[in-house]
Amino acid sequence: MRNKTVRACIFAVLAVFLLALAGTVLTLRRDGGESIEIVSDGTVVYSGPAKAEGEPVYVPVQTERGMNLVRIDAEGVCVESADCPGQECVSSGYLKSAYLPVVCLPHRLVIRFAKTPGEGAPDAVSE
Amino acid sequence: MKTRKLTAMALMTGAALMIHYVESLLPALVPVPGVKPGLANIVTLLALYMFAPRDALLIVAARLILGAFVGGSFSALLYAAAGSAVSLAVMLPLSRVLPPRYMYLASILGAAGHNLGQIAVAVAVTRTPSLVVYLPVLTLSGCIAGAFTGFCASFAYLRLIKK
Ligand SMILES: [Zn+2]
Repeated sequence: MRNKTVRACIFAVLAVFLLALAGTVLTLRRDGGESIEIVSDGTVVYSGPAKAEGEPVYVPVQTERGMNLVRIDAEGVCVESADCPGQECVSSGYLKSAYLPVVCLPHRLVIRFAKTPGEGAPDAVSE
Repeated sequence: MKTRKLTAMALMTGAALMIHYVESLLPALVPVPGVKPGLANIVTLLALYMFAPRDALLIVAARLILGAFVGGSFSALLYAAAGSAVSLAVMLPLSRVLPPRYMYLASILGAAGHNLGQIAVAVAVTRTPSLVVYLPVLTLSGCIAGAFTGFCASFAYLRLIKK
């Protein structure tokens, strides 16, 4: 009985550790790159550098669903304001990870790092 | 409550508080919020193996509340309390079934629970689901720290306390 508990715990620890390790590897590889793109309802409406030194760049995205004002500044890209109900896109802050795009589900807006083929680490191929 | 037990509990709370304070003075090891060795967990583990669950909970609660006064903040208390609650929910039943020499298993799983609780509160408070991205890094460091504190605790228990 005791051995069973210990074994179950060892398995649980291994599972947690491996999951965390895999997640960490993914997170560390998250660095998206130099350029971003704004996708509205499936089409790229803007693409440009992921950061803007000096004056921030504002990109308004207006569709029949609503408006999102995207800001690109020295820190990165985020949604400055939006007229969506949940405001999740605004509160999610800067785009940090290639695995976690900034999204506004009600407006079908996605801000993500642009895939730049041939640039950066070779493991970017495994996408 | 017997005086001897009360003294032991007070001493352990003090020790946990001191560890907690010294740790808060250390610079962050990694530029990720919440990555800390969590050495006060050594005391929590020992308390779980030495005392009744209620007394162990008391020690943790005292450390949390006093810790907010000493080198902590009340906004951090919420995160710490959530982390400790989940961690205890994992470690308490495990401490009843795992022999002391396997304390590290309870400790690692408790640490993982701690991180889960912290991130859950962070997500709820800030309404920022993308904070989940920190969970793997936190859990990984939690596993390592949990193993370390677990080994320390079982060493202390088997070599110093039980004798
Ligand atoms: Zn939105």
